Amino acid sequence: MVIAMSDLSVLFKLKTRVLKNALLSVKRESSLKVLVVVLFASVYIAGSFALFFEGFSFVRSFTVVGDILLDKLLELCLFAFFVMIFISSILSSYGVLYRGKETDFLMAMPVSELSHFTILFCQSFILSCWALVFLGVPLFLAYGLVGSRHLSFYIFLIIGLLGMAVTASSLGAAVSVAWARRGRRIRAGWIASAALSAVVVGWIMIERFSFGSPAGRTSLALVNKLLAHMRFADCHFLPSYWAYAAATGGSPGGRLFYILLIYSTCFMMLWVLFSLAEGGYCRGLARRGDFIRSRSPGLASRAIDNMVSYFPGPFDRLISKEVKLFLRDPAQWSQYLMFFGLLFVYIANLRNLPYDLDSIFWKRLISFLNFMAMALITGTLTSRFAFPQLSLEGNRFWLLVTSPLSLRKVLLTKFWLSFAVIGVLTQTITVLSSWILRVPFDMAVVNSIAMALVVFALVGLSIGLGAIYPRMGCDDPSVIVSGFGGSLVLIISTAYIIAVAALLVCPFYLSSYFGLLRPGLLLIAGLVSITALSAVVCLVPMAIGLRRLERPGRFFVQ
Amino acid sequence: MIRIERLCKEFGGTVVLDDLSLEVERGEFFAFLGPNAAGKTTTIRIMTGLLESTSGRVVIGGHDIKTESSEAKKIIGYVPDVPYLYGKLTVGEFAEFVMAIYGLKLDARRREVLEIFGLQKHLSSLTEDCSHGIRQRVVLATALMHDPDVIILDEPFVSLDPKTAILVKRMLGQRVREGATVFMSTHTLAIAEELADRIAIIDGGRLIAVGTPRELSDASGSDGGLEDTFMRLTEEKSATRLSAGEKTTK
Repeated sequence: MVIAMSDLSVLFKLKTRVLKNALLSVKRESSLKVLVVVLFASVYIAGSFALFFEGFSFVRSFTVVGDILLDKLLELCLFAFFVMIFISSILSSYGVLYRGKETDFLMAMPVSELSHFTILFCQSFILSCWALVFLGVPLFLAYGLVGSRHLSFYIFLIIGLLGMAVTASSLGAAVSVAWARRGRRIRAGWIASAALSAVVVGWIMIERFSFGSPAGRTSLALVNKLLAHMRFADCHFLPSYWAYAAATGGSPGGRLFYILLIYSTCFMMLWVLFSLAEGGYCRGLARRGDFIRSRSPGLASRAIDNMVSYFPGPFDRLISKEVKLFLRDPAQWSQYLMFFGLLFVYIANLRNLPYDLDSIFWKRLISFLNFMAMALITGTLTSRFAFPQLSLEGNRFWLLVTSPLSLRKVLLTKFWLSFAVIGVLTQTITVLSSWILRVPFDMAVVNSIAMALVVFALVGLSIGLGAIYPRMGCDDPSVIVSGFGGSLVLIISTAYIIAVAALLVCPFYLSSYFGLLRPGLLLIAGLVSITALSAVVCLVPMAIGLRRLERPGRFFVQ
Repeated sequence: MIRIERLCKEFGGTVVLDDLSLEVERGEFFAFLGPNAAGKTTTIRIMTGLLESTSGRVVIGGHDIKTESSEAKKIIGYVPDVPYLYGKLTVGEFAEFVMAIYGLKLDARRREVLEIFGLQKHLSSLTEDCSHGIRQRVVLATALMHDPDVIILDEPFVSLDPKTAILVKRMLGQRVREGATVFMSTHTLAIAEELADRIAIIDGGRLIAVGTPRELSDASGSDGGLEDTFMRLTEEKSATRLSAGEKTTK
C-alpha cells in the first residue's frame, strides 16, 4: 500500500489554504455578527463547564460511593463518545467520500486513489469528531477539577482520546467503504430500519433500567442497580475502556500499556480501512447510481395529494411540495428520527422519576421542570427544522420568485405547516409526559395552553428570522443553522423560554410567599402576559421577514 | 487517441449506453451530439473515469481508463458540464493548485493562458465571489494549462459571453492544429458544424451516425445544414421507436 506523498502534500496545502481563506473571510462579516457568535459559543462552553462541574461535584459528594460513581461516569462518557464517533463517522464518511461535490473534481484529476481518499477521510474525521472537542473540553476539564486529577491525567486522556477517536472513525469509514464497494447506496428504508432498531434497543435498555417499586428506590439499591447497569462500558475489549484506563490508571507502565493497546488497534484499523479503499474507493465512486431505480409515485404520494386537496389553491400544492420534499430527503427526516429517539428515551425515563406525589410543592416543581424541558426541546426543534425552511429552497427559489405566486403565501404556508406539525408533536409529548408524571389536571391544561403559545412564538421567530437571514447557497440544514441567524434564533428562543417559565412560576411564588390574591387569578394574568409576549416574539420577525420577501433580489447574490 | 469499444452502461436496469464504439484520431476535433438524455454526459463521465462502464472499455492515448487511470488522466484536460471550484480559493490559488496536481509550476507561459482568458484582474478574487461566466473561464483555462493531449469538454459554451466563446473556439482550434485531440459534447449545432472535423450523433444510448458534416448530410439525405441533418437522424430514430411501440401494443 503506497500513498503518493507528493499528491498528498498538494492536497494538504490546498485544504490549509481553504481553511486560512475561510478564517480570513470572517473579517468581511459584520462585527456584531462575529461578536454574537463568539459570545454565544463562550457562554455555551462556560455554561456547560459549570453544569458538568456542579453535576460531578454532586456525584462526588456521596459518601463512600462518590469517587466510584465519578469514575464510572468517566467510563460511560468515553463509551458514549466512542459510539457517537463511530455512528457519526459512518454518516459523515459516506457523505464526504461518496456524495461530496469535490469527489468528482478530484477523481477526474491524476491524483492517486489513496491520496484522494486520505484527504477526504481526514475531512470526515474532523466532521465526526468536532462534537467531541466542543462537548469534551468542558466535560473533561470539570471532571479533572472535581476529581483533583494530576496533570498526567489530562496528558494521557488527550493521547488516549485521539487514538480512540481515530479508531472509531476508521471503523465507521470502513463500514461506508465496504458498503460502497458493493455499489449500493444508503437508502431511506435502511436508515428508517436502523432508527427503529435503535428505538427497540433503547426501549429494552430502559425496561432493564427500571427501578421497580418505590420501596426499591432507596439510595443504596439505586446505586447498586446503577453500577450494575453501567457494567457494559467496563468491557476490557473496548478502546473507550483503554482510554479510561490510560487516563486514570495507577502505574506509568500500566498507563503506557493501554496507550500502546489503543494505538496498535488504531493502526490496525487504519490498515484495514486503507486496504479496503485501495482499488475499492474509486470503484465505489464510479459505481454510484448503478442501483438507482426509477419509481412511480407510490401510495404515500397519492395519500399526501388527497390530504392536501382540502386546502384552497395554491396552498394545497405548496403543502404537498413541502411534505414530499421532506419525506424524500433522508438528511432531513433521519435527524428528526434521531431527535425523537432521544425524546422517547426522556419520556420513557420519566416513569423512573421518584417524587412525593402528595406534596403540592413537588407536583408543581415537576410540572414546571417538565414544561421547561418540553419548551427547550421545542426551541431546538424549531431552530433546527423551521429556521432553515426558506434557505432550503436554495437554487430553486427563482421558481417561486418568478412565479405569479405571492411570496407572502409561501412564507405563511411554511409557518402554518411547521406550526401544525411541531404543535401536534409537542402537544402529544406534553400530554403524555403530564400523564406519566401524574401532573394535576388543571396544571396539565395550563402547560398545554402555554406550550401551544410557545410553539406559535418559536415557529414564527424561526421562520421570520429564516427569511431575514437566509443562506440560499447551502443545502445542508445543519450548516444553515450554524450561521448567525441560527445562533440568534437559539439565543432569543432561550431568553423567551426563561421569560415564559418565570411568568408561569411567579403566580405560585407570589401566592405562596406573600399570600397575594388567589393563584388562579394570578395564573390567568400570567397566561395573558405569555400570550402578549408570544405575539411579539412571533409577529415581529414574521412581519420583518415578510417585508424582506418583497425585495427578493437580495436572495440572489450571483 | 481515443478508443471507445462496445461501451454499455446500465443504471438500475435502465440501459443508458448500448454498445457504443468510437475512435478519434490525434489532432482531430470531434463533436458529440444528441438530444437530452441521449447518453452524452454518461459517455464523457466514463471516458474521464468518473463512472464505471457495465461493459466495454475506453482507451485514452493508449491507456485504459479503468486499469491505467492515472496515466490516462495526466493527458486529459476535462471541462465538466457542472464544474466544481473551491469557493474559498482565489482564482490564482486554484490555478496553482491544479498545476501542482499535474506536477507543474504556474510559470509565465501558463500564466499567459490565464491572461488570454481575461483572468489576470481576478487572480486574487475568491472563486465564490466571481460571476458564473468568470468561473466557467477559470475552469476552461485550468483545463488547458497543462497542455493536455486530449481535451474533453461537456457543454463548454454554456454561459460564455460571445467574446469568450470566440476565444475558446480559437484556442481549441489552435490546440488541434498543434496535435491535441478535442472531444466536445454540445447542443450548439452551429459550433459543431463550424469546428468539428467529425461528428457523432447518439440517441437513446446508441450511436446513430458518425462522420464528417458532409458525410452525415449525405447519409441523411439532407440538403440543408447540420441542423436539418440532426433533426432528420434523431426524428428517424424516434419514428422507429414509435412504430416499434405501436407494434408491441398491437
